Amino acid sequence: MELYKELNKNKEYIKNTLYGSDDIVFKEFENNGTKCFLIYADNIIRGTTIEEGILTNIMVRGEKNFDAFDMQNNLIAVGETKLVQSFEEVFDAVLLGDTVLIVENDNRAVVISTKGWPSRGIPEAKTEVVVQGPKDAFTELGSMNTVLIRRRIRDTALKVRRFKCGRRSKTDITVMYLKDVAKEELVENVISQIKSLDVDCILDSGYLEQFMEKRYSSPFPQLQLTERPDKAASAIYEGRVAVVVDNSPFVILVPSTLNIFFQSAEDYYERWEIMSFMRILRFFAAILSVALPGLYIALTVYRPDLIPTSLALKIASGRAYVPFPAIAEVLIMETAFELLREAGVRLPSPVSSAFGIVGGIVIGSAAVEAGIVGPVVVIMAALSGICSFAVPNPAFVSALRIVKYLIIFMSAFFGLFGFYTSVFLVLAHLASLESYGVPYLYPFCGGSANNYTDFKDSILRVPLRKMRRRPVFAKAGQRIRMLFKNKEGNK
Amino acid sequence: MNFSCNNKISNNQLLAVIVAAFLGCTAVSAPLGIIETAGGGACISVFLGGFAASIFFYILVRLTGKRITDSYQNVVYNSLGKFLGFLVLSAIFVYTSVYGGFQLSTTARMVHFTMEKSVSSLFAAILIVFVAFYTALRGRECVGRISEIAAVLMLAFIVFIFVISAPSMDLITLRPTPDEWRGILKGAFMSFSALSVAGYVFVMLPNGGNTKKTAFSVFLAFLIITVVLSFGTALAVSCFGVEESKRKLWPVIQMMNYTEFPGSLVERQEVLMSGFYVFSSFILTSLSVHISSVVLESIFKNINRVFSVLAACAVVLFFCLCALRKGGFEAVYSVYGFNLAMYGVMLLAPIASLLRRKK
Repeated sequence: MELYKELNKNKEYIKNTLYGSDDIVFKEFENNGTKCFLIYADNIIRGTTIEEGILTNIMVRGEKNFDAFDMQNNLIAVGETKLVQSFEEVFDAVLLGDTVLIVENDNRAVVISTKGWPSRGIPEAKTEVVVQGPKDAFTELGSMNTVLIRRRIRDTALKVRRFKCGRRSKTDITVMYLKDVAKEELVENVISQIKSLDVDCILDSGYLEQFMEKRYSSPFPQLQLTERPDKAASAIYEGRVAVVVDNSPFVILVPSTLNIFFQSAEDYYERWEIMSFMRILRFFAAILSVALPGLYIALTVYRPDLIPTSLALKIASGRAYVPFPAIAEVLIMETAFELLREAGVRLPSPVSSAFGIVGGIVIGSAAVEAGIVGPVVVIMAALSGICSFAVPNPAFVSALRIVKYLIIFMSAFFGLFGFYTSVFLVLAHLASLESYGVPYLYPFCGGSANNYTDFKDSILRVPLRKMRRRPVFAKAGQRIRMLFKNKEGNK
Repeated sequence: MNFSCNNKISNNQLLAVIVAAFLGCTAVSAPLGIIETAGGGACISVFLGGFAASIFFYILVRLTGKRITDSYQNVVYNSLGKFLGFLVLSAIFVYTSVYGGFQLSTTARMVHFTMEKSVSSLFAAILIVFVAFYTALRGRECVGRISEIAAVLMLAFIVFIFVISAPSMDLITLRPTPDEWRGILKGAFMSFSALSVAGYVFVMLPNGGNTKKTAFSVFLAFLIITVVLSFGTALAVSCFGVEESKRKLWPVIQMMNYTEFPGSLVERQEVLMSGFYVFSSFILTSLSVHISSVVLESIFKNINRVFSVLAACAVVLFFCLCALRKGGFEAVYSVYGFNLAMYGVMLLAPIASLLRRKK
């Protein structure tokens, strides 16, 4: 609906619409006889901008018959202003923290950028902790997050495109990418997905992530969420796209493959030998965390003849007086561990570490001494849980936690054959997943698309000098990212 | 942008599919009949027949590859006309279902007797078909990708076993006697026929791509299978001797029982080998179901994808159940060993020549 020329009509409509919102301030004043009307949301605006940048200038230097355009260009000493003509734009601006000035006899309003959202400053990364490397993390302020990425990419090719998503929340979504590196189809695909969303609100990047995923029924994440600006910048350099969601300290990175979830930020800050070892350890830990409980059941219940005799006797003696079958033991311990993990997340940090130790001791030792579970099961459950923490990405770990139960139940019902079947089923599911056209198991599947060079940053991480090509996410003609000069000075 | 989401597989994935699907199954089923025929020279038979199959497929793909610019099924219809195309595709449907069902029955039996006695053959077959349904429903890209991983793991495992077992081979046992040469040639033909059943992977060919690379991928795939199979047969014969090998149902798997792994934690290795075979069987069954469903969709144009895959699963399971019946295994095997292989050769050659005639 268009603004009226008559100021009183505009005032009436705006006041009626925003009736009941006591934090919205309406200021009426005059500029040399010309009536003006100022609307803004209290506590969202920035400092003294209104007094110094707007009111003082208009009241002191303003001339009669200045219209909105004149006000915008001659009197308002704020960097970002624009003219709007509809009530919807006026309300959007006010609710976002901008100030709107409406002038008598003009059906245009001046939107003045005065956003000053409260924020908690740049925090330290909590979920992606590194020993060596930057410690800053994203905040809930989308504009701040954009700045944190810009600091690391000082290239004119970095594009920052803003959209609003959510009918009521009108959440600011920012898509960032390198124009000459990221594939156009990928960027357009992401943008069209965001634009086509018609929901009430986007409260967090997790919301948007679930709408953007193709196979939302899969427990495996197909997009990566990160709270680290260096990781986001690194992804953009590789040709991926970063989606910053206002009010969320996590940025979405697309596309994402399984290999990426095993990479930590500090993989590239420390020496390649130790980091390659850590990568192998992570993959091994992930396999162990998922397969160990099921394998234990399959072997001890159905095929004890496969276990070395001495070990089989040890296991059997530990289970001699346990009243429950192996599957019940495993489920009890796995469930107890999951409860400990979940409770530990909710507790205040001073208490949680002590709680973890006490809970582990109580549940572990006491359960064994009471004869509820065997000691081997306690060790197996603890090992499986610890191994899951070795994987850097929490969303991927959550998927492993769920898949583990499928393998446990299949092994419990069908023994070793059930174990193989469930493992194949999981692999088949992973093989069927894609993230914006890239196979989820890349580079282990389809690695030939980039001449197998992406294996250099998969299970092993080769020296940085050898990582001269960008991954397959980048445009075909932009795959070279590193050149060295030879003795003659030629690249 | 995408190198996926296009329902095509690459040349490397085609190689992996052939190796992963046929390596395990041929390693178990083929050597028995060839050892009976060729005796000590069985490994020579396997190598000769396998090498001939590799060359045969290389030539076939080079000849027909350029013509297949559309899907294989459309090419059949365009080349042979509606009625003949319908007959050929129906034959391929029956052919792949029978082969898939038979291999499934072998796997189900092997699971019951070697891996888990508590799991009946019937239930093992149903479980494998369930997995194949899921994989086939996801399309050929899923089959291709999982084969890429499975093929590497299987080959690594096989090479490791061979390296461990090779020092204990008794080469004297493998030396053929002069009167065994006829049997060796017959065995070579059996080996050739056994591998030629894999002809229906033509349906999976990456259409319109570089025919030379595709043909080389197919050649390499069959060569790998041939080399592994030959070595496996040689190991089995040298381990058990010729007469004892003829009495073993799955000599290559049972040979694992006598192989000493250094520092091994596991006491019965043949179960590990069975796992490798089960993985191969999953892929082969998925492949059979997928190809059957694709052929079904080309015969019944408006059929829903889920229904076509379900129908293919049902038919494969039906043939598997026929083979699982008492006496069914021997009856099907006696037919399969020769007739089905000829069936495959009969299918491929005329189609290739007809495709070549029509542009």
